[in-house]
Amino acid sequence: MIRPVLLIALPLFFAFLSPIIGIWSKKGVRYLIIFATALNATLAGILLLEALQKPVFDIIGGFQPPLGIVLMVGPLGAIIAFIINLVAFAISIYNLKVEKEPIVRYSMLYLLLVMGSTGMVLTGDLFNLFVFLEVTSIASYGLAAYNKDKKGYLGAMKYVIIGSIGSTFVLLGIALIYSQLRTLNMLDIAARIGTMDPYVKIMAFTSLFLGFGVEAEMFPLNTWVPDAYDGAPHPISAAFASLPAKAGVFALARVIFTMFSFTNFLWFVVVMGLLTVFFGEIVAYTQKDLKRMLAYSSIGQMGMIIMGLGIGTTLAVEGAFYQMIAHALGKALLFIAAGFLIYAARSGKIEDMKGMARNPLIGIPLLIGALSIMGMPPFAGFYGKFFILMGGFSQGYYAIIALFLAASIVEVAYYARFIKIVFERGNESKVIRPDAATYVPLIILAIIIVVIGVYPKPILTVLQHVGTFIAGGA
Amino acid sequence: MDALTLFGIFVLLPLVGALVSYFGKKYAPIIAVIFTGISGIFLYLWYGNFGSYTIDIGVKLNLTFDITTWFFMLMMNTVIFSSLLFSVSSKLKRAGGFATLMLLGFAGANGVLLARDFLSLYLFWELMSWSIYLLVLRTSGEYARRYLLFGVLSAYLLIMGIGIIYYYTGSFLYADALSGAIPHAIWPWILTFLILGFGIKMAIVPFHVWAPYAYSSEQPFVAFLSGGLSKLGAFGIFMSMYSIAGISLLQSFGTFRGVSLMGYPFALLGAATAFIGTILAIFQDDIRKLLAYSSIGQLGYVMIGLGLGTPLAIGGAMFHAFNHAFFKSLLFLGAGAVIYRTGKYKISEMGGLGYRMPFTFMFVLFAIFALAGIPLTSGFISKWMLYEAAISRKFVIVAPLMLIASVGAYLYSYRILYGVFLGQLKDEDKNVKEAPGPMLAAMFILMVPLVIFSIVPGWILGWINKILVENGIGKLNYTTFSYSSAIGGANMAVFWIAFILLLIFAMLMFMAKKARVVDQYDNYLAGEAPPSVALHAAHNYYKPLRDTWAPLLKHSIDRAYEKFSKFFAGGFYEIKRIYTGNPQDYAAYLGIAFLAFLLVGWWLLW
Repeated sequence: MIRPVLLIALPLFFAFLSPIIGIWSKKGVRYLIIFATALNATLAGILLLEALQKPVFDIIGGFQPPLGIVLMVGPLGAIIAFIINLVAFAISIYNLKVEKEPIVRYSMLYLLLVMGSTGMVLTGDLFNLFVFLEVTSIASYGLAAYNKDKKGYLGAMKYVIIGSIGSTFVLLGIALIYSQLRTLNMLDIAARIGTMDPYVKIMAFTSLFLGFGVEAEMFPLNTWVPDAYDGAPHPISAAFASLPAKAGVFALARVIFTMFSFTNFLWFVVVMGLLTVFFGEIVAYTQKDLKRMLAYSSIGQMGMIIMGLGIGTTLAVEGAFYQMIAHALGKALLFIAAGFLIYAARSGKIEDMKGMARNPLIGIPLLIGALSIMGMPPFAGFYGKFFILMGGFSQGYYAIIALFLAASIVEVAYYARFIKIVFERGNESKVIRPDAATYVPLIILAIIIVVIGVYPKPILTVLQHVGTFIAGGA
Repeated sequence: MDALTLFGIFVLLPLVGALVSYFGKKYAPIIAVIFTGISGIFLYLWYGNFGSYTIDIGVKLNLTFDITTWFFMLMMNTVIFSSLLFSVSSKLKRAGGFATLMLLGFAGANGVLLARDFLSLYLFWELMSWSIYLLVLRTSGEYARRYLLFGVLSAYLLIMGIGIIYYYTGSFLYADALSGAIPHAIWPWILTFLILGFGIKMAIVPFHVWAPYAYSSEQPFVAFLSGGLSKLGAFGIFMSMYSIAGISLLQSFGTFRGVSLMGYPFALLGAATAFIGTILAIFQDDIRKLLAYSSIGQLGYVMIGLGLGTPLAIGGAMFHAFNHAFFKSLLFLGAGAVIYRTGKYKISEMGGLGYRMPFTFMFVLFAIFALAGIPLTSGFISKWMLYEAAISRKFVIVAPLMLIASVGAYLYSYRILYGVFLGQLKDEDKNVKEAPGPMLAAMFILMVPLVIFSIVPGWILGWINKILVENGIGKLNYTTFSYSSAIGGANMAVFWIAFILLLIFAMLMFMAKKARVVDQYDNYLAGEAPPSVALHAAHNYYKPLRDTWAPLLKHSIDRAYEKFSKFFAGGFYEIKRIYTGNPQDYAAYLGIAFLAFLLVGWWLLW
């Protein structure tokens, strides 16, 4: 029996421990984050097993809810927290490749990012959610500018502007809810949401939806994504796609299902998801720069998840959660591989990377990641996509699904173009062998993708609890 | 036999084999051959041991092992076995990856054949699809990309069909589709989506443009792709029309001379495919492209049979699919053997290789007989069944197109025979040796059924008849040596007796006369030749015909697709402009989004 609060407290502890360790050894700090994230992932795994029995409620400081802050961990929150920490662990191995100083501050911010994202998933209190959102955002702003070059600064600046407007929206939503209901506990809000003035209710929903939509990369709030991803160091791009984005979309799911139980407004969420997919995939097709392409592709994938949430049937939401897991794993893998390719080609342009992935240690995980993102079986991405599509059909969204599939073909087109170039023959002499810090996380992620794709039963067993989640449970 | 044994032998075993053979280095093809051999043995042992099973991997996979599945698996297994056997000696680069991907494709194909619910169908369909993609990627990224785009289009068309069924029935099972939940008027949509989706894998016009590129990859793989995997399209169309929908539902959409109006347009499409594929094949100089277009054309015949839907037509289609599996993979392997020995792809650069590679020549000759429908091989019977099916119902468009395509098949077959194997041997090919043993063995395995089923078509017609009866289509009239139809039929016993008598007579004639073998040059140039003269007229073959057809050939579906994609790519660059890079614009988007949300929300409330 472990307390969920440990998942938040421990990274915080290690984050503040790292400057002290950094006095003795800079290298020790790098291994410290690996240890911290591994520990966190293990704890999250144990927590998941506990949450499967019944939802875990952790009351902070002895104040009883609804007044006190509470962590509310259902099976779904636990699995997302687990995946976030698992990916964070894989990325922290790749962090060994980050050469720029100051590594201590980098490590601190990275652990804060992990902690904030985990907290967003675990919390059961609306204001607490906002606090964790801010922690995540501020850590992200710092990390986005970490390269200290023009691209990094510009990206971070855009991220700060859009992100802070988003946070303001969240705060506005919270204020509206608090002014009407005098409570901030999510379950309490859900119980009393009917008493809210409907116009204010819509406004509160809109504010929260847009605020978290910024982190969840929803159209048209995702404008920061390409610049921030492109300017950030490679492990951080991987982390952006997997940690804050997943936490943001989980918060979105909390807003949609746990707090507000709209039924007539959900089609609008589906349309927003479709627009996100559409613009993400189409703009990704036009990109010549690898990391920007992956960033736009990430937008497309997040749009698919938002669509799944908006469709709102058990099957579709199950698919959306499966897709969150698959995308966290797959996109982290692709960004790590992209980091290697950029390093090997000494350029971010896709056309300069001819034949760079011909080493099987890079090539095979890269293919697995790309195929998983395209939704091919037996990889993780398959079930999520299929369930979302079938959920959409069962609600009669024919036209939307058809448009979505058209956008997916565009996605396949640009991934195939990328694969074509990186596997092209004729550049054998320049192919570099990756070192362990690069291929170990790639292989870890690839193996997880294949395992949960070939045998989805464990994941699907957890996701069976989606029914309670939609009904407003933990 | 229980669920896990069936699933294990036909799906998991190839998957395990895929994993093992990756690390097999140059022995990988041998390991893969052993793995396919094992599932092949079980396939033969389990004939008649049919049943339905469910596997739970988190989602339920409903598998059925029945005669239809068995019949298609038989093709698949034999073709991949001989393709891998061929690849044992063809010294592929990175043979481990090759064997792995072949086995993955095989596992996917077996899964598609066993699947009786849409989820597992789609799962295995995509598995097969991307393993082909990676196999094509080994040769060329651009070809692979073209393939993948069409592969994904096929999958998404299937998804549309599956989704519509799911909307009405809420179930993925094939069997539930006919429960009556789906309105009658929706069925044409479902069938069109499914048939086009499966048709893409069969390279039906106008979705055939991926095929010539994908078929230019490594020959052992292409033999499996064209011979084996393309039959999954035929299987899928058969299942969706006659098992999921059923013949009585098809007939209820009205009939035209006894053929369902749902099926007839697809028969026309098949006829167009047969015609276009054949015409384009005639003018190819690259042997791989020629065989590719020929493959497109031949699968058009299968499509015709499936579209017409009479017992004779479907029987012919099944039989032709079976024959095509063997003769087309044999042809690709034969081409592969020639390419392996000479390193050349162009027919006009080869010639006279029949003297150096006599066994390959003989095998290819039999395959060409089967392709052209000459009655030494079973190709004759299947084509004749299809002709009769079209003629007996007086289809004045389908039947003539089939006949023209058949004449075209003679033309391009002859181009292969003459251009590659007959005529003058090139100087640089003087030292070419016969293909290595495993290659010959692989080709021999593929040739045997073509001859056997020509003598005793009753065996294979027995299986096909079972398929037809089980799906309630009707039954065939056949005996061991012959079949009969309303307007004739064919009796192979009579033919073979006549053939053997004539053969003996010809042999006697041949032996009675003393022949003297002279050098090629003596014949043509009265002994006065300079050391090297090009007597081999394989260059610009069929030029007069080409000139005649020129107005038609200048339209190209390839180019239409290119224009289409250019048009869209241009549009994408326009859309990209909304990401201006200016944070002020971005902040404005946020504000606009907030207002739009709010207004929509309030409007909905109001």
